[in-house]
Amino acid sequence: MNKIRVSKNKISNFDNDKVIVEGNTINFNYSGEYEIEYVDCNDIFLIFNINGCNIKLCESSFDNNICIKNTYNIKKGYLVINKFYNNKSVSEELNFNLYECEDRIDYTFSDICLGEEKYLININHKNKKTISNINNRAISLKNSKINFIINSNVIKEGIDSVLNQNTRIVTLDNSDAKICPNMFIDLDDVSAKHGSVIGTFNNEQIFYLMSKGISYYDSLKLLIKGCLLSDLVVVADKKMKILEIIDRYWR
Amino acid sequence: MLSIKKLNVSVDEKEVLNDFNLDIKDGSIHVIMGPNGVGKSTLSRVIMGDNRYKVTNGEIIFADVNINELTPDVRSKMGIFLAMQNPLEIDGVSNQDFLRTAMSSHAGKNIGLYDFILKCEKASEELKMDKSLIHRTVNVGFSGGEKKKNEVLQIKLLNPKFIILDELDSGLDVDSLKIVAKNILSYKEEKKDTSILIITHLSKILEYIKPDYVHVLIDGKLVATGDYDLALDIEKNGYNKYIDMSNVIVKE
Ligand SMILES: Nc1ncnc2c1ncn2[C@@H]1O[C@H](COP(=O)(O)OP(=O)(O)O)[C@@H](O)[C@H]1O
Ligand SMILES: [Mg+2]
Repeated sequence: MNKIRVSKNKISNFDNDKVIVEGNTINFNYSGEYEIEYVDCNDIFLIFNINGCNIKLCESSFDNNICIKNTYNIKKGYLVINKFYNNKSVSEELNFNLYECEDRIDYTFSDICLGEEKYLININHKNKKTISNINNRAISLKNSKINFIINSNVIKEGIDSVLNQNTRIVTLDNSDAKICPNMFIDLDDVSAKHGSVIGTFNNEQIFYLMSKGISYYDSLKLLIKGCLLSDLVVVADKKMKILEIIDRYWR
Repeated sequence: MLSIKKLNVSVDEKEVLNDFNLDIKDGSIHVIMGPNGVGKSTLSRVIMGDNRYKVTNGEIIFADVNINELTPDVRSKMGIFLAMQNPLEIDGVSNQDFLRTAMSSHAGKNIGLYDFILKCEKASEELKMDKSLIHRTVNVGFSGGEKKKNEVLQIKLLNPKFIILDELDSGLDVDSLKIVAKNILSYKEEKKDTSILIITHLSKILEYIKPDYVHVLIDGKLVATGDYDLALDIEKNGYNKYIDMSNVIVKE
């Protein structure tokens, strides 16, 4: 995998002739898989152009107080993002623009929320048969605050588009969580689904695990791992890092 | 092994078990039969320590220890195993992760992956389980029979002393029931002191696992105790006689 490091709010020198970086814009014209890590960042503003190719991005940010505004322009392309965050605080705006027929974004995000986190996700279906799958999974810790606003917009040209939004926040102790899923659709020929769940883990599941000899704490940890990792596709060393972080909070 | 004395249990403010008594000796096989809704699964859960089922009176003694206040994980590690009527689906958790964590908790140390896979493959072969089930999410998308086999797999991996089988036969076709029963019997053959409590509303499973004692549970109380013939009588004549008996008891 190719690593793109964004350090101190700047894209570090990136030596790969398949990717063209111009200021804060990253242009992808060839299919490939890339890892993006935000290091020591507090203010990010990036534009990703995916032109006629399939791109997999694995994004991560750890221990930052981060403010992000990223735009992903997909033109004749398919973008898959798998993203993991564990930050001090987050304020994030993401814009996904699906310009051409059959353009697609699959977005899978997992998060351990410590402080205050705000996410605004806009998905703009600007052509027919465009597909968006937006998946968020968060565990919010004691006294944290987390808020998702997800807007799927389909203009008149977007016939036969498919929109999925699925957000689950598991609240531990007392934390404040909100999800606001919106679907603004101008026409009928669209398949749209959304599911939003906020809550703790199911007691019945915890009883089941404990009845097999697993302690309350370890049962919780199994469920947390399941929630954060089951849908996330990441390379082995990233997965190790996430497991280390989970171990840090739930020893 | 297990001794339940004067037990009252309520759930959702409703009393389900009332002055319930039961004594199970090492190595014996007991059956509790009864129509739907009389409290059979409640009994199994209260023995396992589900805290939604409140013990309002009486005691549960296991291996000479009062376990009333113990959490389910501690009871499991003492050797109690419950194969639930409807084994739960645990989103996102792989069966392998789950089984290995359970085995490690029981062993008090981390079970290595290699060790685990060897044991697991042997046990699942004996149960004629599909190999892929180990890698799937716990019980998610499993057929009724596969869920039950997964419970019996856990028996083979966790080595309990006392096994509760709550409606094990539901969801199992005849061939699978035979395989499962054979595995349970060979487990018991190997560990002769193992006691088994079979909970069922039908006597089908008893054709394969012969009980020493058969009890009839009606409205939270045992109203009759006998041997295998009692189960045969119920199969032929149903529960009506016993329901009438329980009404007589209530009137008194
Ligand atoms: N978790 C629960 N919440 C509320 N009521 C329950 C619960 N579990 C059992 N009950 C009630 O207790 C009674 C006995 O149920 P159960 O033990 O499942 O019966 P059985 O297994 O004999 O069919 C029923 O009336 C049932 O509705
Ligand atoms: Mg039942």
